[in-house]
Amino acid sequence: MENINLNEFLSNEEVAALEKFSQVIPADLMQEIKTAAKAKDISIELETLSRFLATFMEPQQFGLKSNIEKILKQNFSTNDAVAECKRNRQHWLYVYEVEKLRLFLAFENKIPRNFKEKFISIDVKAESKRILAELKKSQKPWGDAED
Amino acid sequence: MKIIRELTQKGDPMLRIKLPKNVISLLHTLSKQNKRRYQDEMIKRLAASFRQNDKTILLQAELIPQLQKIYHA
Repeated sequence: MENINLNEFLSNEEVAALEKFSQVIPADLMQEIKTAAKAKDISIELETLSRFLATFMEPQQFGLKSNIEKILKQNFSTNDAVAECKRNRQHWLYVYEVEKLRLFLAFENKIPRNFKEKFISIDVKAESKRILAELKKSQKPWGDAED
Repeated sequence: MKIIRELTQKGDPMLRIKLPKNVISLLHTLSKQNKRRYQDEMIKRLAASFRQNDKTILLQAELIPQLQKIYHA
């Protein structure tokens, strides 16, 4: 069996950050890991990782505390999730509408006159001014081109 | 805690492995919650897995094939 390389999971910066926490372990524990990995014909990385995951999955079987509920409560309550969804939705709606308005203004001549569009999350007048100024800057007349 | 600190003596070997980001992050969170150092959390978990080796081997039988699939994919 090939040795499994876990490098792909971490960038160089992350590896450097990891070096801060020196992974010094007792010699006999290291020896046990090596022996167990050899017996199963797998790499030390995989042996260690599977042992960590086993303790995460069934902490009580190993006499460890189950902290997963605490972690879930701390990191991600329902209210946080709802607020995050709202923020995301608002942000993407704004981005979408600005892009829509940009297209509308750029191709105004080619769009039928009876075409109507609703905008909910942006101030159309202010954004139109800003976008038209941007479009003018980007569309220089042919004669002004520098040699 | 005392035992763990006694075990981590100067000159002991480095476990030079690169763990996936989410595992490191979870270890950090757990070490903060249990008021231990990252290193102590790691050693406590590894030592516990060897104390209950039979249970670990049963869980590993499920985990290792899945991990191998992920790493070889």
